[in-house]
Amino acid sequence: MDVSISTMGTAGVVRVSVAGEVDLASSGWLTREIESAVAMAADLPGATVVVDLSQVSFLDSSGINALITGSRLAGGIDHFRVAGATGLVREVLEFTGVWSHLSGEHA
Amino acid sequence: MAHRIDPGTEKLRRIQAVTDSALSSLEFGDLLAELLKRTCDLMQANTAAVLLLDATGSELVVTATGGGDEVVIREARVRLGEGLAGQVAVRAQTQTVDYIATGDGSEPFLLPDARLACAVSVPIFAASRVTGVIYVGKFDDSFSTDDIELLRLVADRASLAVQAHLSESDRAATLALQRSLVPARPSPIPGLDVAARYIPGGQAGVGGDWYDLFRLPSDHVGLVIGDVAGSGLHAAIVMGRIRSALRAYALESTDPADVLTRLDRKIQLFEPGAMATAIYGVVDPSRARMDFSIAGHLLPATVSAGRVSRLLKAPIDLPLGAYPDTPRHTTSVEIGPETGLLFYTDGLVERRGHSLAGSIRALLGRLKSSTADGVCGEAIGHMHDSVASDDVAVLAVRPHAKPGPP
Repeated sequence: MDVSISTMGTAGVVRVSVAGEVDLASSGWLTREIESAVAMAADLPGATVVVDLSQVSFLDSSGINALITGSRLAGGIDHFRVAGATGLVREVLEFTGVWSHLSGEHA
Repeated sequence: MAHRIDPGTEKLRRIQAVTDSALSSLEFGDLLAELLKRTCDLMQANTAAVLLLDATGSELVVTATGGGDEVVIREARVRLGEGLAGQVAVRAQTQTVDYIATGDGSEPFLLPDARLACAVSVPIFAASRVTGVIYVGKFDDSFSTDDIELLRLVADRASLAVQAHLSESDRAATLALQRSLVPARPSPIPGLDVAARYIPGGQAGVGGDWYDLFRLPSDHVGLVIGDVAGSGLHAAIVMGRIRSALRAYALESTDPADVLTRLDRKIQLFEPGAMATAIYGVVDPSRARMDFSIAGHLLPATVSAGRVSRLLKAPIDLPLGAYPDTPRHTTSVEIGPETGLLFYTDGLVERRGHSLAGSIRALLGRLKSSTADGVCGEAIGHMHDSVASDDVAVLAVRPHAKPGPP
């Protein structure tokens, strides 16, 4: 498996830190971790889920789907956002038009 | 006097018994049965079974049994969450059960008078998804930590066998389905020069990409490029339904954003969990304008003589199936015989370790041809510089110099 994921909840933020490659083989793990994080955040008033992609080297459409599904599960940008995407990963998210929706940033 | 066996040697012997390469020469069904038999022998267990998820992914089916005592009902079905096996499949974690303590020795796939004392079940994974479980039961005694460790190895071996078995039959079926849905040649359209290619990906990638091209009664022309998330037979099956629904909505409206909005709603209601990217374009009867709407898909390219190809500028809305009530936009662009269009799926340009922007730039640099077929050839040529594991669909369109009936 080429991805490692750790989830931590502190001070109103449940952070899912992802490292490695997110593809068809590993996106299932990411989906499950995001689901756990969303469940954790639901128990903390006002908490949001932040998915940190700064250590991710590759992300394809299956990864995008995991992120979008997480966003929908959490209830949108007020409860869920993606952060830290750089380089090749940021490109993929921008070229498919999902970056601003997932990050809350506007180009 | 009993001969004491060195625990290290014993452990190695147990591992070798289940990872033995001679197993590979067996047919799928025989391999699983042999694996289960050896497992029961090694653990002094009485019964074992492999249960695999069926095509719907909602039920486990007893696929193989082993151990001397036949208490497992072949082909029995277990709902996810039901009993030990069903729970392990959902939680994706090994679990044991002490039937004597719980007072209930029944599982949906065991004969009613089976009196097992305890059982253990481990999940079988394919990549990161659970595809089945192994179940082992004993009439008396219990399972040691070593037993459970060994069972993990057995599950890994079974996983390899399951993946290999599914791959072969899935791939053949997926290709057959793709070929029937995504024709090798698009139908000719008056006033338009059209060409397309579909190239199946490597082992894991095939299934889910499609193009479509159809003339509407009003003489508008619908153009589609799309990519259903996931791969394999399931993705191709979902693609077939999406492709068909899009055509139905295209008959109702010539506004692409409207068509994709209806399609999105249908997918969210009737294909839970499905997601797809797509572009739907509508060329008007004059063949001088195209309206289009983009759902999470890469921008199309325009090809003109005398300048470098570039991407069309348009807002990209969220993919289909992503979010309820996603706002969608229609963009209009003038088209003519001097400008060709190329639609493609991400398999054409996405490469691990390479910049997507760089790959798209390189693709644009190749596109020069004044014919649709020529542009398709140039696009596919870009792909041959590197190996694609994903499938690829491309569609090229250029209005004829003199639009009208042939």
